[in-house]
Amino acid sequence: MLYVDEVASSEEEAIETALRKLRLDRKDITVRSVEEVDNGVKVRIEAVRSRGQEATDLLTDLLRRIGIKSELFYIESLDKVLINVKGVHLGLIIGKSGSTLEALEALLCAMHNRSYTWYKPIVINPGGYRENKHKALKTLVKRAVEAAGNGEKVSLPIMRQRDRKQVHQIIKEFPGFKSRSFGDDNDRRVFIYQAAEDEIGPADGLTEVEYLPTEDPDQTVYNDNTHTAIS
Amino acid sequence: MVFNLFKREKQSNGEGKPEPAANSIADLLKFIVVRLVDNPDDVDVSEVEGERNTILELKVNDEDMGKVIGKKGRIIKSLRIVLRAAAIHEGKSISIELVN
Repeated sequence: MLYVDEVASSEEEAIETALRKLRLDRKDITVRSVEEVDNGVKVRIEAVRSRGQEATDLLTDLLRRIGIKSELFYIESLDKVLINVKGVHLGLIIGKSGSTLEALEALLCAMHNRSYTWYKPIVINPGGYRENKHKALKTLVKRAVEAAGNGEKVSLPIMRQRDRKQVHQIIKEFPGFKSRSFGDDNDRRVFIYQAAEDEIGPADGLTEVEYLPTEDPDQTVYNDNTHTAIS
Repeated sequence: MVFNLFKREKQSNGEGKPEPAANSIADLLKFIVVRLVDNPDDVDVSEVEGERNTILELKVNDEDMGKVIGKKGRIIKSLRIVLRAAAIHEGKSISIELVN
């Protein structure tokens, strides 16, 4: 079961913080130990209810009703529940570029989180799909970076929000290159380009995250069709 | 001999096919929706056979309309995607209509 060690001025205060971290309610936890320390009390709070188990049971039931025979095992951390699905015909719940999976996740999240005060995201990983997707994106970014080497703007295919986010993270491994998303909701794609000299961030390749709203008129500059498309 | 081979092939095909869903699509829709709303007793799903597909008419309490639709229609959109996938599995074509 999940637990947290919390140091606060009073036991009540420590429990309050722990509940938020564990994303559980008062009735779902137990206080394991209370210890006096210099600046207050150190309390170990343990969960007696597993959100991971509950979400997994719900997904098992749901998949059985959809008609998929599968085996599920979950990994629960403080910030999310990851459910690995093993079975056959998992393509059915993944769908085209993960569309069905995204929908299934949204429904599972909504069903599961309804009865809790704190929201906890659930990630479904059918048959190692997430790892494969990450690998594929990495290859794609690598190719895009090579193409962007001569100063061209390179556009990637239209992607879902989750994939775009991953691309923005992967690009940090390539110092001197930057990524930005442009376009409307269903037509949003990532552009990769060489950062100008003064734009290059710290030596470790971490550049500042930039936020640009879609309605920014400046984006038209990037829609000039002079970029190379990569698919 | 030929007959045996044919038979074996047929068996292996049967094993490879996905399991047919134990419940109908309407039950699946109800299963999900009652877990989303505050008034699960008011949820009603009726199947209407259309010309080409089956229309699932979903009725929920007025207060729960927002819960079923979700922000920017996220939930109802997801419902349609997942249910459609499950229906394809059964060899059916469905659409969901929210009625109040």
